[in-house]
Amino acid sequence: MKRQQLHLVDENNDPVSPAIQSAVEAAHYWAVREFPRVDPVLLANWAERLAKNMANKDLQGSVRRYAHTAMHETVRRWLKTKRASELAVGLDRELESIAGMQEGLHGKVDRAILFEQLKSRLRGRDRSILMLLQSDATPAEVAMTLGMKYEAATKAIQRVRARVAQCLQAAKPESQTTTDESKEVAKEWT
Amino acid sequence: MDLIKDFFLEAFPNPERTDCPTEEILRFLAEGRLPPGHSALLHIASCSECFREYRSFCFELQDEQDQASARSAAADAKTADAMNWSKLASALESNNGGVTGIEHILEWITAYRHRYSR
Repeated sequence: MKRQQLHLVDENNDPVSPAIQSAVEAAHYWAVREFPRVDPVLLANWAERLAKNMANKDLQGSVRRYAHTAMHETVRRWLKTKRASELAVGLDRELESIAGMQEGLHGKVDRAILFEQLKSRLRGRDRSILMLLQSDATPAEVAMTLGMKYEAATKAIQRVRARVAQCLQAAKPESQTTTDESKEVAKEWT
Repeated sequence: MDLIKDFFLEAFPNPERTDCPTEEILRFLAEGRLPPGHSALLHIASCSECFREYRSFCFELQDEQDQASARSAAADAKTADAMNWSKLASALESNNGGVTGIEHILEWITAYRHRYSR
């Protein structure tokens, strides 16, 4: 993916320090990749504003961490206000259909319930496995990364998938009936 | 999988960065340079801030790899283009011309195969 050129200057229109430039560029690139449905022009504007703010501050600790946190906060705030009205950002259609999630207030509640369910049912290594599966890791890669035997990894993956499927079912509002399509997808996760 | 990604990005806020590994460790993790089962891997699955930074390093790494492979493809193309008929003719005219010329043709074919097999 081609990186967008950013105009990173302080309030006096002087270029920001190399550390701030590198931190903001990294945070901006992360946001572009992480939130592909957010307008890149908006992301670039936020990054340029962030650089200006950072140049005014006496930052303690890692500037890279600061830039990522600030960028994420801005995107999150924007998504919160826009999600209900304009975009289905960040909700995968497949999982959405299993959990029967909706946009708006109900959608937010469903999402919160699902996240709580996943948090309580998945612990330690199971979370790491889910994280690796999320980045399309194969069972062999999961086994290698976690230092497990292949057979143990495949069993653990099955267990994680079953628990995720249970959570998705549990997060579904009671009033909704399960369609044939969502049954099919839920099967894939069990 | 966006929902699962959002789960890791949102469900484990750790603004105080309690027990977080250094950025260097997260970079090493993204590069696959840490031993299997390293504690940082368990940590990032329970810390949204570290998960975010880990993904940022992964994206950067992917970008670097893409750029490197693009550079390598361009270099291959240059090598293949460098073999032209005048070079071949001069190789054939030299002492071991027959053998060298055929070797050049084979190299040329290999380079083109490599170039167009992607």
